[in-house]
Amino acid sequence: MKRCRGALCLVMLGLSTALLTGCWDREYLKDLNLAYSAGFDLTKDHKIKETVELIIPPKTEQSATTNEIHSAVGLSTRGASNILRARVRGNMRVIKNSVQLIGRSLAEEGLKAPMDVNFRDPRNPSSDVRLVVTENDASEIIGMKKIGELQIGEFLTQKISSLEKMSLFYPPETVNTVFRSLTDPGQDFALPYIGVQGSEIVAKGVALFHDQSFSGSLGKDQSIMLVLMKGKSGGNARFTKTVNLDTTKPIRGSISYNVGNKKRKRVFHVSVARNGDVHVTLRLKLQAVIEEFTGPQLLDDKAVTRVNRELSSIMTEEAREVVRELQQANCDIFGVGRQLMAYHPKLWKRIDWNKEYRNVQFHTQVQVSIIDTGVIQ
Amino acid sequence: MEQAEKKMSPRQLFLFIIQAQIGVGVLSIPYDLSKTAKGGGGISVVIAGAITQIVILMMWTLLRKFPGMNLFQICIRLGGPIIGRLLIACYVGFFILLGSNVLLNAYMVLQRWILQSTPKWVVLLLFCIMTYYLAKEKLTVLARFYSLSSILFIPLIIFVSYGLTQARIEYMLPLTEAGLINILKGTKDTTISMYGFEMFLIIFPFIDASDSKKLKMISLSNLFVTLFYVFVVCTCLMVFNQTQLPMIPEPVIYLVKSLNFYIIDRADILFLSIWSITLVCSIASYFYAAADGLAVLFSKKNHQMFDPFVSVAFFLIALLPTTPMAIDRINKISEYAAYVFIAGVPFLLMLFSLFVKKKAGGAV
Repeated sequence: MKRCRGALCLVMLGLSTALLTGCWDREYLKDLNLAYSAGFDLTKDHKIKETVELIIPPKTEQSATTNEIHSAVGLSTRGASNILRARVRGNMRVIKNSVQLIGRSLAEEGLKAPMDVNFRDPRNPSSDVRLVVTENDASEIIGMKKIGELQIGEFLTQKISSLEKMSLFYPPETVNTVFRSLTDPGQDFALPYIGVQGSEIVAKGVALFHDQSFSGSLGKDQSIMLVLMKGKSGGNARFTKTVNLDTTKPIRGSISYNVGNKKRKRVFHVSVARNGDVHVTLRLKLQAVIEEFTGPQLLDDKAVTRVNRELSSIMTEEAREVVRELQQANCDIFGVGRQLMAYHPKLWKRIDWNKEYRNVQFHTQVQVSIIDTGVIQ
Repeated sequence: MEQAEKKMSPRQLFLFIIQAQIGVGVLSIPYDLSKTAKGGGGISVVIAGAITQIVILMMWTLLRKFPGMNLFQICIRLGGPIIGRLLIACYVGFFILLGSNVLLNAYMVLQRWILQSTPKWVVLLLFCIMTYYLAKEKLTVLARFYSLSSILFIPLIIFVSYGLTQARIEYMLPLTEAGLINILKGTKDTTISMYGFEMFLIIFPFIDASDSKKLKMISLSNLFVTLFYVFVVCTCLMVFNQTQLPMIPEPVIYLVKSLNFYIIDRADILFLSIWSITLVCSIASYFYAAADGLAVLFSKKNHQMFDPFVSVAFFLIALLPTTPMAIDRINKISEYAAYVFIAGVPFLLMLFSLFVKKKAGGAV
């Protein structure tokens, strides 16, 4: 009996050492081709063109990695990837993927279908992958291969993270957050919008989406305004405006200020009037730090009060313009619909939000107060 | 069981029941609830917890009438050698079914999320080896292991809490969107995740505490589990919207996957690895109950000689169904079997015991 148990123990031990190593689900890094960035476009015959940047490990330890650009056309995203896999050597994997570009033509068509594989396959990373819309074809940007010394994928990642710090787009829209907004009838989203100018890649602002398709865009200043209106800030939010401090003389100075690194106050309230009209109150209180002022006066108390007034009216006007653009694009980025669903479910069931959103009355007010003028007045 | 065996402490009882109760079900409760209760999922869970508590009270009234006996011995005492043994056989079958059902669901989750190319029999075999190794020991060993592995709840709770950073309360509102009837229907989907507390029927005599203390501890663990489920369900309801939830069968893992921890991506792999240990505890409980039942059935002192058979049964039952439909059928069968064996039979036994007691009292 005892010997029998000993033998059993040995067998168990052998089995567990043989089996516990996980021999099936493994992937060696040396066998993989890592795609750092990927771009998706819609071809003329409604297929998907996928362009990827593969990172090739260095031959010797001292030299740097190099990259290769490949593209393929397929019926769907995964279909194109499969065709790509036949072209590149080894197995192409997106586990180190950090940015996906979407060409405007595809964005206009809708994101649900091309993004499906990102949500469905658990091996695709989703928590930190940024989605970006490109003005022209995404393949054009990835095809640039290198910007200065940096490889394109690395460049894009760094570019986006620095633009996020400038509050051009914030909070970051990743594959996950987009999945959430795509499926939500009461919430839309906006993605960073970039384009090519000469040999440079420049941020154009944000691309607005309605339901799942591209429906408009905002400029750079407007994008920063939008981030502030969402009550967020990536760290800095800088504007430069012209103000007129003395009405008697036509002296104007331009003023640069930062409202992103101080405390902000935001009031956001959705209410329904008795006749069913939806009213949204959006009030912002921003605290500004003056970084530059080219006017001839000193920014003393009197001037500051005046500048406050001027800036408040400029910013309010800008915010209202942003709201107009948003309604034009039918992009419910503040989630007004979601608020209605949660707090006014009866009204929500009655209305067609796709049409009704344009009739929502926004009451937007921005108040700027200067709290710091730097080391000089 | 030998009389000299050391008994479990009340604290160990608390953790034992928690470990047995929290199994594979919690990963998908928010999904199950999204079909019926919608935003009111939390309420459904609370109701399920209350119902569980009533069943626990009922079990307790049954068990305290027969000091030093567990369910199987009570079966023999009340039903006589033949009917009693038949009942025990049914119970053994039930525990094997429920255990292999947990095993099967655990495999399905692991297969979908991590071990995509590992063959089914390997995963099942590993689980079976682990549970065999654990459940062949005495109850106190199980209890000690369960207490030790309860530490792992802390990282699990932290992972899920981190999801609150993405939460939006509007997703959960309005709470009664689905209506009261649907919320009650949701309760039915939650009860599956509550199973495990019936271990109380087996381990009752092996606890070193007064009857009322035992009731207190098991009620506390039921309370803990209910609150934990409410927390998980509410977090998922606030992170995912009502269009997303019906698409995601395991929202808890999806939630963990979608979190950004900066240093690590795919936190779901870590989450599931830790979770597997809790699953082993759940399966081992059913394993122990089935083996113990067999021991009483054949009037043997200990259950060690029956363990290999139970292990093979677990393995085979979990190995057989391959299509989603077959798996669904097994889930359904275990669900209905659970109604009968967790609530129905103990209730009848309790009624019967009231009757017998009176008679016996009259005779003495």
